Amino acid sequence: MRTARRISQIFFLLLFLFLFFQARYPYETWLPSDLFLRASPLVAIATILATRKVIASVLIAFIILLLTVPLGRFFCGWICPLGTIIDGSDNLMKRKKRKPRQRESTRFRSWKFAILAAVLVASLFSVQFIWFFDPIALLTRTMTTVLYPVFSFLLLGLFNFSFSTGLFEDQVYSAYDMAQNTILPIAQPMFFEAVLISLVFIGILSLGMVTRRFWCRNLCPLGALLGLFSKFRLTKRYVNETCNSCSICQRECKMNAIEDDYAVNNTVECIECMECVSNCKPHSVSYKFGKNIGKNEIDLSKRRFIQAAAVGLAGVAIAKTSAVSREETGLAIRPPGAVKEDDFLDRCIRCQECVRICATTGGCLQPSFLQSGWEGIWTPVAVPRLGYCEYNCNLCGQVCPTGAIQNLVMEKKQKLKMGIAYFDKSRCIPWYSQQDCLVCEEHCPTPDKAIKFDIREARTPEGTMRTVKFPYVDEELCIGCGICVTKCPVIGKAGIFVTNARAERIEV
Amino acid sequence: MSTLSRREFMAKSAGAGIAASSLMLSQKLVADDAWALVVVKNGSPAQLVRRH
Amino acid sequence: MKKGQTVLIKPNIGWDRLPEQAANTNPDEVAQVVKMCKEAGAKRVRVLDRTCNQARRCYKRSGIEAASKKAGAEVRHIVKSRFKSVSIPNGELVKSWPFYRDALEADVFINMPIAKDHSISRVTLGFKNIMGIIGGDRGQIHKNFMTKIVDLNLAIKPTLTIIDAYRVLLRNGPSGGNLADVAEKKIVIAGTDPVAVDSYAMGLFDIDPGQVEYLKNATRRGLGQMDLSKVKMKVVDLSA
Repeated sequence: MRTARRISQIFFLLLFLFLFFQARYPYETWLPSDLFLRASPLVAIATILATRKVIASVLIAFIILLLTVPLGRFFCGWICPLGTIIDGSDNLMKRKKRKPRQRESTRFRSWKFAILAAVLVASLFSVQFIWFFDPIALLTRTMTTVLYPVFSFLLLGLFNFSFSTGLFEDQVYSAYDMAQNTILPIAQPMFFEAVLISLVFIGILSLGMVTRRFWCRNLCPLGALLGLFSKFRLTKRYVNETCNSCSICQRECKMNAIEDDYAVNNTVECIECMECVSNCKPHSVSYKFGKNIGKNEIDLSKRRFIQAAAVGLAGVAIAKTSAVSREETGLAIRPPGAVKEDDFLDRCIRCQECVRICATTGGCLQPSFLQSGWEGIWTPVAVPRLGYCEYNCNLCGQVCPTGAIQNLVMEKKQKLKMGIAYFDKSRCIPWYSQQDCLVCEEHCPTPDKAIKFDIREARTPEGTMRTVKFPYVDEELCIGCGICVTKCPVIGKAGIFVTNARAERIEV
Repeated sequence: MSTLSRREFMAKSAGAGIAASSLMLSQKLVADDAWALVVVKNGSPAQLVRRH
Repeated sequence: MKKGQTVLIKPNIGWDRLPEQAANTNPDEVAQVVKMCKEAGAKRVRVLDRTCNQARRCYKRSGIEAASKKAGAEVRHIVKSRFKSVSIPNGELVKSWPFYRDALEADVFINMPIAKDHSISRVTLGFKNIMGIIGGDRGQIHKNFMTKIVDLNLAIKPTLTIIDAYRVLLRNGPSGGNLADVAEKKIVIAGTDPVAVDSYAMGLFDIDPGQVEYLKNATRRGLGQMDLSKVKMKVVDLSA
């Protein structure tokens, strides 16, 4: 059974990676790349609570939840890709040697229930923090902003080295072309907030130095949620009379779910990894459908619950009273198709799928820091100096699992304003030095260009008169895609910038 | 993407014909340096094929 | 063209647009050129361009990638490390600039632009099309463009310039997008004199080449002849 579990874990991890690599232009798929995100029951519940709407795309999650009732926390043990990664990294780490028959502490076990409570209470009060803790969102975010860029960096470095040696040029060129169409990106991806995001991930993996699956046992609120639903599971662990009380099963249990009476395990904690089955020398342990004989207490005292709820509420209060969100910098330029801001902040789980797929086409989306306040940390914003919104692209809406970015048809997307461009006349070349430039107008993608010229005579700094094409933005035509900002040749801050003025958001 | 298929077909046949004839002529000019500039207008496939 | 030579065709694949929108070179023309090079015995025919929009989108939507591959060409994307710095001692403003190796090293370099309205060069033709095989920050070329574009063309002279005027973009170039801005002219202009070729094409847009700075600059510096009365020219009308 353990082999079956391992195969299942590897299969789902590979599937997760496949879906991740698939999330790129041209994105012609039969299996949506945000499948895992949609399947997380935690995302589903928190989002529905916060928005008070039923979001169709996350209904897959309810299947998992329903299956947990009879089958227990199989998701944690057999499917969750973060769980698989944690298992793998745990094996690479040394832990303190334990004395025989000394059980690891279950002190921190209640924390995951507390976190779950805090986050759900906050959701009820319309501040959604689940995204920080959801394992699938967390993993997708880390892959997009940290792991994939590092992987690309190393692989691209290898290719560039091969190119510089000049050996086997044609073959390397062909291999490079093939790699760019599959696993390599078009250009080295680079993202803001990558350091912070990586610290969270590294932190979680490092907890493996304390105990195995520390995150899953003590912190993961999805595990807590699934644990709640698996109280009355039908698949039970049975220990027969051949048991010689050697305690190996308790030691090998990844979740520390086996009590000092080795026949009893905690059904709320057990993830059915089958380690106890495989490690038992007299083969006393088996999993079967049957009557409930295990322990099924949820490790959360009333006191803890109230503490957690208070923390959740405090978080809401602090997020909503910080002036950072009040200062209108106009820098929170949302992807085209984004729903209204309140709804957006509730729905967005900061998974960075939109950021990921945008990076393979126009490349404007980046995880934000405080552009939209504390509530909006790590939500996607367009940074036009680094990339623009491709005119013929509507991929971000296709990969958003919660509908924070709606899937728009091309005609609608091409007319939708993300914001408006404004000339910085102190930096724009024609305006400050009376010379022609026009790169912005050249690249403006709207069929009737949104950048137009006022052609008139102007006096140059040298004193002569010259006919200059002075550019200006036609606000009715401009959709705020930002290609003018990306391509502006001024060194440093561009001569043109985009703000989210007049941005059109979708009402759902 | 194939809503303009009829136009595309016409464009294809005409465009191909024009390119063919222009290059034939310009190949000659690259070799002979006889002409610096060749302009071909209003191609239709049947005439061009017969010509070559 | 001789047998066994390597060919590099540089069409305009700069924009994420359909062939009907006349922002990129006509794919069937590119395919024809590929075919004829192969028939003449070329060892290798490569097709590439340094695009403005995302490269894969442009190569696909323009139809040039599919048509060229079908005709037997190697379609390649730009690789940053393949730019080589070329010194331009006679350059007035640009003394050196990176150029793409494949274009510099090919035996035959065919420059295949499409004629389009363009705010900075009046019409973008052969001279401007060279910007697709240069590296570096191309935005810098737009300042004092008329002189700089001639400097760049000093570094590399195409074996042949073929201007696609089957469909031209009359307004809102070079990216276009509105089919109403496209005019079907059904003309192709080819020649070894890049200045003469561009000068003739200017006429299609009712622009006197004598009014275009870069043509005057290029003629003065000996890159070609813009006075069409002094050029050996042949006009073939296939409808006649």
